[in-house]
Amino acid sequence: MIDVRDLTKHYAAAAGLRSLLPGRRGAVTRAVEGVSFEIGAGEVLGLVGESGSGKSTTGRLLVGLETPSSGTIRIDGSDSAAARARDKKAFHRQVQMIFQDPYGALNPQHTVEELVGRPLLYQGVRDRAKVAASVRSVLAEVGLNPPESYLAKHPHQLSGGQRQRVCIARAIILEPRFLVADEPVSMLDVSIKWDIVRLLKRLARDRGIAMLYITHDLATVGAVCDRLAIMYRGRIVETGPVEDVLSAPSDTYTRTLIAAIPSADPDIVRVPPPALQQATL
Amino acid sequence: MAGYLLRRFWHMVLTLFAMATLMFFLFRLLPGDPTATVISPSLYPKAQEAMRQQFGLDRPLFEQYLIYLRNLCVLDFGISFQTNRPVFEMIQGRLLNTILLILPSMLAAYLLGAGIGAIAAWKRGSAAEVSLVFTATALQSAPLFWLGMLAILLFSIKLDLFPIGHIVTPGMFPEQDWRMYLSADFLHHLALPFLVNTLYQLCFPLLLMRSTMLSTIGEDYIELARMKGLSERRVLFGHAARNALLPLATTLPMILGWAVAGSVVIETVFSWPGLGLLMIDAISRADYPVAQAAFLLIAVLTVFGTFIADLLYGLLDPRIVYA
Amino acid sequence: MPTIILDFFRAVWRGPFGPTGLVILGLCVALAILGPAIAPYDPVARNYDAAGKLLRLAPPSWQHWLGTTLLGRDVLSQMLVGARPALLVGGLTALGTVLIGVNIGLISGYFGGRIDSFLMRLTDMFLGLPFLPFIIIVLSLTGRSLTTMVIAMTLVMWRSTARVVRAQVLSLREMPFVAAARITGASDLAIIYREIAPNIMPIALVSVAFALAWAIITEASIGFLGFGDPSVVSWGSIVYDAYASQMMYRAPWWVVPPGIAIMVLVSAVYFVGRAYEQVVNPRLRTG
Repeated sequence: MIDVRDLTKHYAAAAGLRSLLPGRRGAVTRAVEGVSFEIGAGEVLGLVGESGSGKSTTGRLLVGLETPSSGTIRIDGSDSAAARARDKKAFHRQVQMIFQDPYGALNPQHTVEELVGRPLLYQGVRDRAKVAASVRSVLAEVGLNPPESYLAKHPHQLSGGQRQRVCIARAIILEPRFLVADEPVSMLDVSIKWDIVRLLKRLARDRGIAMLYITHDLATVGAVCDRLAIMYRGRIVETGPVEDVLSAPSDTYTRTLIAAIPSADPDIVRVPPPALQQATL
Repeated sequence: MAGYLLRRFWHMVLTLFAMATLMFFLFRLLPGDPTATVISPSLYPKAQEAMRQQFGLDRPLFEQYLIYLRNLCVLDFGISFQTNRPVFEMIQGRLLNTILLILPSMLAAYLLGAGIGAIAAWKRGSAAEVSLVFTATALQSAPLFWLGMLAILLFSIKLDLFPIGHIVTPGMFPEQDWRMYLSADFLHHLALPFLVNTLYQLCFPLLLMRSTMLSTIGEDYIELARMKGLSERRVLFGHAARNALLPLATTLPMILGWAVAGSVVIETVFSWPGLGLLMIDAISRADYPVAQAAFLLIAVLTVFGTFIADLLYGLLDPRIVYA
Repeated sequence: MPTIILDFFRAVWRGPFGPTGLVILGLCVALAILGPAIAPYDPVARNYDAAGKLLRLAPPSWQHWLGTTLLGRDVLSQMLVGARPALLVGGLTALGTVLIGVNIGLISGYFGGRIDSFLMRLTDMFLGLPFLPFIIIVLSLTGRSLTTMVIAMTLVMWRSTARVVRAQVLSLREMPFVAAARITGASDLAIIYREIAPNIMPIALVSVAFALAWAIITEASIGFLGFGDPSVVSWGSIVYDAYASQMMYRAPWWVVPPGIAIMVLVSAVYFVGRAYEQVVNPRLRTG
């Protein structure tokens, strides 16, 4: 369904003082370097890496928030750059994204009804009754029940978990084929985390959505992902089914990542290897 | 830094150029004979014709514009309709008069305003502070011309402490004699407009100083100073006040520019022969060359004020990067 | 939109100054509407005493609460009628200022790059324009009317609003909700006006308040300098008449009331504006 080949994104190095030094001219930051993967309908691929590994940039490239330096993204066989150029709105109906920060991702001035209905409005749907019905049904689908009690609320009146559910409702109201979830639970309380993760899993399965689940936290991937891709410094260093990667990692970097998974049992304290104590995950 | 300075200077020149252009077209857009704003209609037809050629008014608009710009560069503002003297001659002394009235008064306003504002922040919550803030807001809301008239009514007419207006007692000095600026008579005339303008202008720095200091009270370095056991007074005046002075100081040149623009009002009330009064008089007598020149000079002062404000801001605030 | 208005009143209603300002402002608006109807005399008619003598500079009395002018006109009636131009010119200028300032700030901040540097250069140029002299020159060249006054004042005032709004937009456009709108296919215009604009409304409202205060004082100053609409009685023109007659220092009842009226009205606007700013400006929230 989603087929990514040699995706690459380079940025011109930030124009700081160092760019004035000889030899620094024209330096580039290689955020994403030749990344390839594919995701089938209903499948969830976990993209795991530390901050700065290029995993979020990959997500932004896929939804069209950034333009790739090179490489191709194919959705159902058609090139996404060409599709976006041909019909921007149609392209955005197919790919949606859930953001890490549910506080910043919801416009504080809008009500839940406006927030969830806006994508339809931007897509040119003018039938108010139809929009209202869709909003209610997706709110129910993401577990905000009864939907009527949430419609008039503003984001600041919702809990973190409820906000993320609103974000998910907004993402699925256009019935996308492909969904990027960029660290969707990293800012939520542990108690809510698992509910959201299970919700995402269910949506992917029921709606047949191909999902890229971006995270730095290997603890949740088992519950949601079918396959894993480990990203390090802009490259994918290992990929495979979740159980295989977690139980028998072939890459040294993957091994250090796994060693850092907090144990579910608080009595067992795992001491990370010294190399990892400095790593910021 | 040098590049930044140069670029800001270039912007200033550009702004002044735009303003001169704006004035050129504004005055030519008048209904009726477009040359009526350049050549006095009271001149003999022959003299009018001579001037028309001198200013190139018989040529296309664009050429007139170039001549106008060239004349500006050599400070040739034309001939006054009223006095038939070169405008430049009339304007020189006026510029100094405006600066002498506004600049010392603004400096005093900022010094006093900062001091009183800091005390207000220190005494926050007290009845004295609340009434001070109330009074300052009310004063700031009053029209300056009206405050001036009240001051004249009270101090000049009822109490007979100050002269009613003008820069010196008329007839005491020959016109535009620099010695008048050194006389006690000049200071006596300056006192009342100076006091009124200072009192009015000190409201803004006062309120700004107070609110900036209050907003720093919750910040880490203030908390740290407090935890070190420094007294409330030391914390406020040693730390909070010093940090509040910076944003305050950077507003001075810009407010100064606005005060120059607003000098029209105080000069009118006190018959102070500055640029503003010159402009008002010239407009009411349809003496357009003088009005235009006075406006441009006021604009130069205003733009220069903003320029200095930007530079100061950059010098004082280390966070500004000259990119 | 209505929620913003509601939030505005809720915010201002806290603290002692906000409600005071709102009440005074309400009274002034009522006066601007009703003033001409409740004025006891025609504001420009000459009044005579029982013996048929013109009431020149009559001090306050039961017939004329605020006395009369040099031409025997009733000062109280002039005061009541003069509220309307002050609020009308102030209100329209504030409205025009915010319309232009907000739009330029939004476009400049959102698009950035060349559009931004062009618009900001333009703003800087207007920032250097000496406001009062500019308005006076425009008025004297194009004729003295309230309309010209509003246009000229708007021209010199939008600049500060544009700067404030732009700074706000620069940080708002990096918010994830803007990216969220973009990936649902929202156009630039939709993002600017449907996503970002509602978030700068509080700042825009603050700048309306300060623009209003400033415009009322400027309108009065223009009237005082003798460049107001000659057919309109305003608080500024009352002071101008007194000043031009050279009699002002003999008739304080003629000069004092218009100044007090302006002072009270503008203070009220400042109180409301500051009370609201206190709530919406996070930098001031601790103060």
